[in-house]
Parts: sequence; structure tokens; C-alpha cells
Amino acid sequence: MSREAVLRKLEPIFRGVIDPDLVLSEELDASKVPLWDSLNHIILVVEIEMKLGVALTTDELANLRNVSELVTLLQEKGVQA
Amino acid sequence: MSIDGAQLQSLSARYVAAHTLQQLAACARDYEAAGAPLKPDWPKIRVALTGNYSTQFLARGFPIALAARDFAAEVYESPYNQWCAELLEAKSPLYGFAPTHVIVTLTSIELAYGSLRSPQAIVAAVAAAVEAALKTSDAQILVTLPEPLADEISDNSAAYAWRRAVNDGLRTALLAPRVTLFDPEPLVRSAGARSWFDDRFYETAKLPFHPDRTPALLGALADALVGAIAPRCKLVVVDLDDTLWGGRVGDDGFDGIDLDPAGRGRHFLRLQAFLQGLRGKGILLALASKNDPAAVQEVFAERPEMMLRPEDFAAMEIHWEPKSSSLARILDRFKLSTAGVVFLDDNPVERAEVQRRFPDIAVPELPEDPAQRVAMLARSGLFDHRLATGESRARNRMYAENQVRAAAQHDTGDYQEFLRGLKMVMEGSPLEAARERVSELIHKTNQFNLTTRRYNWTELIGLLRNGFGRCYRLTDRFGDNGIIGVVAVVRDSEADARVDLWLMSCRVLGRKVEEAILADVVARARALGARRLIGEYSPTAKNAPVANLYPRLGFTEISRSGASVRYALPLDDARVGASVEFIALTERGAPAEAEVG
Repeated sequence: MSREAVLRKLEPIFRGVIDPDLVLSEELDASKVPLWDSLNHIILVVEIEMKLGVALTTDELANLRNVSELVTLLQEKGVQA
Repeated sequence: MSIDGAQLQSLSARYVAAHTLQQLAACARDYEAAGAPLKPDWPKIRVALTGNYSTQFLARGFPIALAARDFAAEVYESPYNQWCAELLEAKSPLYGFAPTHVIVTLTSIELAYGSLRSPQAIVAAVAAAVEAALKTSDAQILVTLPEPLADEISDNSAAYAWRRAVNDGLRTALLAPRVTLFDPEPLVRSAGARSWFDDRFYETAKLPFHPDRTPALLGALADALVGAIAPRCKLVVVDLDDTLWGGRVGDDGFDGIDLDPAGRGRHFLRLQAFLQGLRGKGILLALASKNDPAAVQEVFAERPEMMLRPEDFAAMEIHWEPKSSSLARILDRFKLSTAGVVFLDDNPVERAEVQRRFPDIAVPELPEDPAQRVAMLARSGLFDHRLATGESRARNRMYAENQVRAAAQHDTGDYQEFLRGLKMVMEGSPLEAARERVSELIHKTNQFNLTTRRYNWTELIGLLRNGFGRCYRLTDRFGDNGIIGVVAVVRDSEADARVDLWLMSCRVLGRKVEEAILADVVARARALGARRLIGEYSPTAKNAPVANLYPRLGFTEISRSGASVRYALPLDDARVGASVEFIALTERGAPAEAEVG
């Protein structure tokens, strides 16, 4: 799956958790999105695991604070369309 | 800005349905955005939350969780793992918040693997912190006991022994009446350890359970908190037949009701044990049963399997009046409001009758299947009563000792309204139409049975050669009650028609069904040219409830022989045998319209 396709799959999840008007791009990270706090980060992880059917490891879960890395990881994990 | 009633209701409904953290967070966010609810009658509480793990999710959720339980809550959350300092230091921000309630929530993960570790050290630290809180503040204190860890693979495991030692120590140390203990074990067990724990989130966020378990824990803590504020339930009024035992004592006899612990009776005994447990916690129990008091006394005297004893009940309303009247008397006697009153009855019509007069009384819909009832009640949340004080236990005994029967007025107009609302339809037919059920009723009915003549079918047909037999099926908005009445009328002479047999299922007593049946019988006897309707009552050990049926229906006594009494009703009086306006009488196979003869 292309990076763009992964991004499009992530966008509704981010919108549901963080901000309904958010436009997700690879440049975003937690420091640039005020509502991407530690609380919402946990919710994001849970939602991504559930909606995309992946399991993240403890390390992955801790370090995924920017969109670009998240996309790379999900690509590696072979998220299906 | 504040939230209006409808918004609050839909938000509460969303909150109750939330089972993921995201759904819960969305509810909390919308609730915060809408501003505090303006509900002047809601108790205002100030909840301070402190513990040894990440409590942000709980802190965010508490206001909506308590709003859904009709409390207006403000919440303070301690910094991460500061519970000792916050509680021990009298000038801490926690006490500065002036809490009415303090929740101390501690996970086993940190207790067992952090700095304290040994059960003795843990109990000492918690006891010291709680003691300081009791001294510094007058808040209610809720302490969570350590949850069972996934390491508890058997009762032989070290983790199990550790938790038992901590639990025992805390239960012994924390006895002050202002302290409530909350054991998360049932919650963890029902979720299953595998679904409860997720170490990744403890590693990364110091959350000792999977994030999606937050709504369940929050709900349980809110229940515990509210339970500690106002016990949900203070009185349970319970039915007898088919609720506390299987069958109906009036028909089956004290020796015929099912209390067999090895069979179906076990489900009824289980409900008795459940109620006994409630009584142990200081909740009052009372009986409301349509029965002959003597028959019920006989059960208590002769059936040792009964777990509940007469002295367990603060009040007994055993008679044939509407159950709402029984409730009214019980409430009046103990000067109780309807808040926290629960009514348990297997019969949906009785439940509706009580609910109609007392909309605030909790009337759970008991499952038809007795096996499912206790589980349903336990899940209902109606009985989460967490403060079992010596005083409430004594209250139960006091009520039982002071049992005084104060007559309460039965609100006739209201009851008529209820009967009207039942939308009863009674379908009459010849006895052949339901031969099996008619035979069964003739042989089984004891209570509403005027003459108790156990005819077999041949005898019955012979008897009716000179008369008529009728059976009646009653339906109402709750469904079909089946064949509920049988009469056999014999023409004794040119002038007289005699009701040789009249029996009814006692399930429908008090619903004017006997008047409706009489109207049908009168119409038919008139059509045959009879001028008097004769009624007989022959007393038995069981049929006292109908001793006064004929006088009540307008008959006058004409003769006595032994204990039996004969009555007569003049059929030439046009006022006699009026139909009951809210019971539509139809004929089987005929179009549904009131039938007059």
C-alpha cells in the first residue's frame, strides 16, 4: 500500500480522536497538534490497532509521535486496503 | 452555557453505551463543551482522585459518569503517583480542593513491584495515608483493593498469596465508617485477565489495564462512590408464588410448591439467598403476595428448605388487594419515600399495576426463566449498597419488631384507571373448546373454587345435559393469560339456574373478571328463562378467599346446610349482571364485539 493510501486510512481515525477538521499530512507530529496529548495518543493507538487490524509493540507504541514514522511502520506491518 | 435536559439525557445514554476509551472520551469532551449541567436538585460532590497510576482517563470521565447517576461532580486529580504525599501532608493541593469524596486507587503492578512490595509495608502505608485523610478532612474515602494480576495462575501462586495478604490487612486496618473498600476483582474476572491487562500500556502510559477497560472501571467506581453517598436500595418488596418458590401455594399446597435444591426449586432458593444477602447489608425486605395468610404461614412452618424466615420480613402484606395498596401501606408504615424501593414479581400485570401507581419504584422485569433472575438482578445495579453499617442492620430488626398494621387507603379511582389500561378481552366458549385445560382446572384449582367438585369429563357432560358450561380465556395488553375461568350452570327448576361449579385462576383475581363472568352467566340464564341464579359456597381448607364472593356480587343468603351456604340473585332485576365496562366480552369464533346473551 502506498504511503498516500495509508495516510488516507489514518485520517478518519485521527479526525475521530483529535479533531474532526484535521487534515492529516506526513509533516505533522504531536508537538504541532495541540490536542495530540498523551491521553489522545493512547486512544489513537487503540483505535489504529482495532481499525487497521495491527498489533504494535511496546516500543512502537511509545515512539509513534509523528505521522511519517507511523506511516512507515504501518507499511512495514503490511496494512491491507 | 449549560446543557439542557434532552441533551443531557442523550449524552448520558451515549455514556452508558460507551465501551471503548474513545467513546468515553468523546462523551467527556462533549459534556465539558456543554458546560456544567444546571440541575439544582442534584447533590453536589467534590471528588479528589489520587493513586499510583495514570488516572487522567478516570478523572476526565467522572463528571459525566456521575451526571448519569444524577450527581453534579467537580473533580480534582493528583499528580501521578503522589497519593502518599497528598494524603499525608495536611497542606496538600488535594485538601486545598476541599473534597467531599476521596478516591484512592492503587494498582497491584506498582504496589507489588514498586517501592513498597511487602504486604505489611503496603498495609501500613495505606493505613497511614487513610488515617491522615480521616483526620484532615471529613470526606468519604473510597479505597480500591489491589486487582488480581495475570500472575495469579493458581491459588498456589505467590501473586495470589500476596494479594490475599494485602486484602486481609487492608480490610482489618480500614474499618472507619467513612471508608469504603472497592474490590476490582469481579470486574477483572468478568473481563478476563487477558482482556483486562495489556502491559504495553503500563510501560508506555502507566495505565495498568487496557485503555478500553476504562469505561467499565469508571462505572464501577462511580457506582461505589454513589453507593457510599446514598444507598441505592433500602427496601425490597417481593412476591411469593413463582417468585420465592415454584408454583402457587394456594393450588399446589405447602407440600406441592417447588423448593427442591436438586431441581428447578434451586433457582427460587437462589433468589432467597440473594435477598438474604441484601438483608444482611441492612436492606429491608417485605412480602406482597395475593394469597391466604394461613397457607403462607404453613409454608414457613412446614418447609424447612425456606431460607427466608418470617422474621426476615419487616412487613407482610398477604391478601387479595392490589399490590399497589400493599406497597402504599408498607411505605406509610415505615414513613419511606419511593426512592430506593424495589418491587420483585414474576407477573407482568402486577408489575405494571405497581409501576403505574408508583412510577419511581424500581420494578425490574424479572426474566420468565427463574434460572436467569438472580444474575439479572445482580447485574441491574439496583443493589449496589456499599455501606453496611451496624445501624442499618439494626433498623431491619426494629421494623420487624414494631410491625404495626396501619390501614392505608386504597385509591379506587386510580385502580380503575389501571384496569382500564390493561385492555382486557375475555373470550367465552363452551367447555369442549378447551377440554384438557378445563379438566386440569377442575382438578387442580383450590383457592378460587366455590364448590370444589372434582368432576370427570363424563360426569360433567351428564351434569350439563340440563344446563350449560362456559370457559373463559383472558387476554390483556401483556399477552394471553389462557383459560382462567370455568363455570357449570344447572337448571334445577323452571325458575332456578344454579352455579354448580365456578372456579378461576387466582392470577387474575382483583381484576373484576368475576363480575364479567357473572354478567355472561346472568345473560345466558336469562335467555333460558330462569328467574333466579343460585350460588353455592362449600368451604374447604383452601378456598377462604372466595367465602364472600356471592355476597360481594350482590347475592343474598337463602339457606345453610352444615358449612355450605346457598345464595340467590334475582334475574328479573335489570340492574343485576351488568357488564364490566373495561372487560370486552367476546364469543369464541365470533367477531370481537361485546356480547349480550
